[in-house]
Amino acid sequence: MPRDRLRDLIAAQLVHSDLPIRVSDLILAALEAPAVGRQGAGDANPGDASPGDDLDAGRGTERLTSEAAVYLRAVSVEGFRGIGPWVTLRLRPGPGLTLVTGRNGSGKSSFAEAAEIALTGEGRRWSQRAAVWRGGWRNLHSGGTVRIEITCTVEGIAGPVTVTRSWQDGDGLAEGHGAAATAGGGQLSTSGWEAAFSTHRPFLSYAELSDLLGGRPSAMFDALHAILGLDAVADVARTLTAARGRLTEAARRLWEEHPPLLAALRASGDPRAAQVADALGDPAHLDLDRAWALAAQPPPAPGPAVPPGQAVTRQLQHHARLTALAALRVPASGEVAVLAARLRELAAEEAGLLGTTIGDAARLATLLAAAVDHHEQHSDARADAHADAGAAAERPCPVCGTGQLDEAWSRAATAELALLRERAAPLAAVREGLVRALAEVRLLVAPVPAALITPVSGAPLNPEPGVLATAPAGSCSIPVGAAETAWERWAALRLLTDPVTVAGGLAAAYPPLREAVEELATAAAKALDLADAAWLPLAARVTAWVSAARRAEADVQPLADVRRALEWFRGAAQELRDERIRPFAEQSAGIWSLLRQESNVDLGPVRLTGSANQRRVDLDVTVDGVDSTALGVMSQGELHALGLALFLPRATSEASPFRFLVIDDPVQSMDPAKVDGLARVLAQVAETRQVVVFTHDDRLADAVRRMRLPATVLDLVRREGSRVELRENLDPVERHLADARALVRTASLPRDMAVMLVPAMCRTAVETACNETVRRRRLAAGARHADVEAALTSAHSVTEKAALALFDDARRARLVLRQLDGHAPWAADTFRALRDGVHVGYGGNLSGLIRNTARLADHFRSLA
Amino acid sequence: MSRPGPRLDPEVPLAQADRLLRGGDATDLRGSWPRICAWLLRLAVEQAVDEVWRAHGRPELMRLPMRAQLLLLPAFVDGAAADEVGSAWYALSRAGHLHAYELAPTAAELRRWHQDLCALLPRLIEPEPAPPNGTPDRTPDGTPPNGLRPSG
Repeated sequence: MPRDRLRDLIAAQLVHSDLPIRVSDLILAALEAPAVGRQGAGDANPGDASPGDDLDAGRGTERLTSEAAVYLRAVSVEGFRGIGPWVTLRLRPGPGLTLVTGRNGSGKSSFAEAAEIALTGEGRRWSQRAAVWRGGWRNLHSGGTVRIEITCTVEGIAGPVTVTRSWQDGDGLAEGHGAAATAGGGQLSTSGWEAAFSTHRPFLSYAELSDLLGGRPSAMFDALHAILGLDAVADVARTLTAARGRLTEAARRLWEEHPPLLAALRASGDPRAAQVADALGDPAHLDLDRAWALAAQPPPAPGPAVPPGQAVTRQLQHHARLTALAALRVPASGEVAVLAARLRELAAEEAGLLGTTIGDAARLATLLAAAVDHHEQHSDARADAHADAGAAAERPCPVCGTGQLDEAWSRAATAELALLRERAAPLAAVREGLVRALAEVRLLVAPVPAALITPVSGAPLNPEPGVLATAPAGSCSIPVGAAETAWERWAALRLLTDPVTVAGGLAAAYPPLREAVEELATAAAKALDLADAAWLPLAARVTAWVSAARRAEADVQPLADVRRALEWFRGAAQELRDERIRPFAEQSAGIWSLLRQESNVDLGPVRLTGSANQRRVDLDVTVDGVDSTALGVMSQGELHALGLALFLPRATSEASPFRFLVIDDPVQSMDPAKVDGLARVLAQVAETRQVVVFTHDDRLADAVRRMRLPATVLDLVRREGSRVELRENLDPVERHLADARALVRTASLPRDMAVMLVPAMCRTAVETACNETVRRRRLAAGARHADVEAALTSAHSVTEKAALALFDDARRARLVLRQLDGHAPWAADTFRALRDGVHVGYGGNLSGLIRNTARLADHFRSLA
Repeated sequence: MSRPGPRLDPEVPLAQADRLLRGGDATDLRGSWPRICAWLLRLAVEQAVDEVWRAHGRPELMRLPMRAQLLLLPAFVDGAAADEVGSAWYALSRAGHLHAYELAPTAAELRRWHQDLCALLPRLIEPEPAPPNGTPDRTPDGTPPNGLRPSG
């Protein structure tokens, strides 16, 4: 079936479907696409040593097409299986039934297999066997060489085509050398036949008959599918399935990777990992952006370690502490030195000033200020108690005890105090500077950071107090204790007020602090780097996964489209299949009805159903009208008959170039009534096909003789040493002559009947001989099969048929008698007698007429 | 082989075979009834052929051996029917004889033959539907089954 027509059909169906444009575009694109992996999916594989391999080797060879009709002319075999010396099985090209009978072991199957191997490069019966079984393909009685030669007629090629396959000593069965040549010696390639061989298989053996129904359901599906021209449909389904596979595979891998990724993230002590795990933890609510931001960020790590809602694990705490430790800084040494110097300078200045009048003024001012304060406190209190008193009270001086501190004193003292303070101002400024400097010290000296404080409970991670083990590796430990002690000394400076002590403390505590803290921070940073080394690959995994997840997110729509397209296409394909298989199934049912004879099994419609691995052939089998899908109800003979009913339409399909059919032993396990049916079926097929049947007993030949079916019967005898001989037992010409002889031998037959009927039978014998000659000659010349049959049918009279045989021209009927007379006078006489005897009766010797007819028929058959 | 006896209607042996198949009086026949049934069916065929000779005014042909009669038959009746009568007669002859290694026909086979004959035998005495050189019975060589029809 042309691919284009199929595509148009599907496209037309698409137009009427309610699929979105996106989906129907997918199907159309798949229709255009080249086939994906067709070879791998089906069983239609021509085998490793396909004849094309070696036959194609010659350059400039002509290719045998899969359209030109082919008939067999001869099969010659030497040294193969049961056949020893060279022997030729001659066949009549053209439609007709040939039975080759021979006892088991006479070599008949060897002929059938030889023909198959020579043409296809493999034998079905052999290819599936164990090596030990295949070992015996060489004949024991012949020398090293094995040679098979098939002569056939091919439409469009003048002269017979010879296909040979030969094996040298030591070659394996698959290593034979194949070649094809025309009568003129031109090289041919048989590669054009390969597909046709697997699709139509003109060879059928007994074993294959059982396999046809007993084999895998998908194999029969593929076989039928190919004949129905539905390969394009399978290709589209395959393309779509492949697309779906790619998409689902990506998603499958994505979610397969998800649990291990999460586990790895959660196992990692890195806080970023914990955050990523939080973002990706719920498959239904992935926070891809956050995960991406976290993972794609280059280190250093972000600040506060533990995300909200995240369980605080020991590893997390550990990581946070490491981060804090790595971030520990001490004040710059210059800053510390400057501050200490300032403190000392101010302290010295203060000491210096205290010895001068400024110092006296300051001390006096302090004393006076206290006295004034004392006086004011006291008078305030009295005024509160005696509101009417009004005048300031007089108090004795607490210093001398004699003087009176009154209002006048107070005024003088306040004036004096202002003077004194003015005089002591430089000292006050120095003291103020000291206070500021001490405040700066408290700013500079930070309390002990939390990270340095050793946890109270002995954590397992701290095997020794004051030593923090690095989390994952444990390869190095961090000296926290030294830094902590140094910092404690340092922090104690905050509590001191004496500038000189503070300045000394700063100078003394700073260097060990700086050393200890810097060492600690470096160690912590190193530990963090180690953690990062663990994180970075994990981060890479996260970014890869997130990209894949984004792609999968983007693929959701395409995947839905492909799924929809496949679903629709399956339905459409099923309709197409049902439609295509109908005529085929009817043919099968017709053959079955001839074969079944008394069987109570009915064969209904045959359907191809399912797809992919579920594909199978549904045979609607009913037993006594009751549905029974199981083939198990049928006897072995019935199964074979059913297999034949399915095989024959396939092998005789109009699309097949092979007009021949080689069947090996179809009669086994058939009861006599079915053999009669088989004979009829074969004769029916032989009306348009060349049917060659090998059979091990006489039942089929007997049925053919009894039912007077036109057929050639050859007997095959194998002598010692594998010498095989062929003897023609019955042929269509001989059959008519035998009928005539039987009539003549019937003594009581009325003379008036005999003189009419015997010439009629003789005439038919001659006509049959002429037909045979014309077919052989014209088919060998490459004429079209249909043209040959048309020429034979339009030659009505025996004279026209003879003209065709003699001159290859039916219009030269007038010259027939003269030509025969030129050959021999008896030939012309005999021809005249059987031509006219039909109408007026033959007055001469009837037995003599039959004898001469046999000679005349031989003469016609021997014409080139 | 010659049966000069009185005129017999093929319906009679057909009916007897039918009764045998239904198991009517098969009890005393035990295992031999299938072959007897086949003989009855073959007798029906022979009597139907006799009817043909009688109808064409050639009763002397009834005395011929059956093979000769079957060879002559296409000259008188529809070729396809003649062929079927021939193959039925040969098949029934075979079934009716005891052959080594071959079993008697089954009831289903016999029933089928019976049905076929009930349809086939009446066709022998119908007037010929097609002109003598009509084509319905042509074999693949393009010649009539046994060449009895004049064609020119």
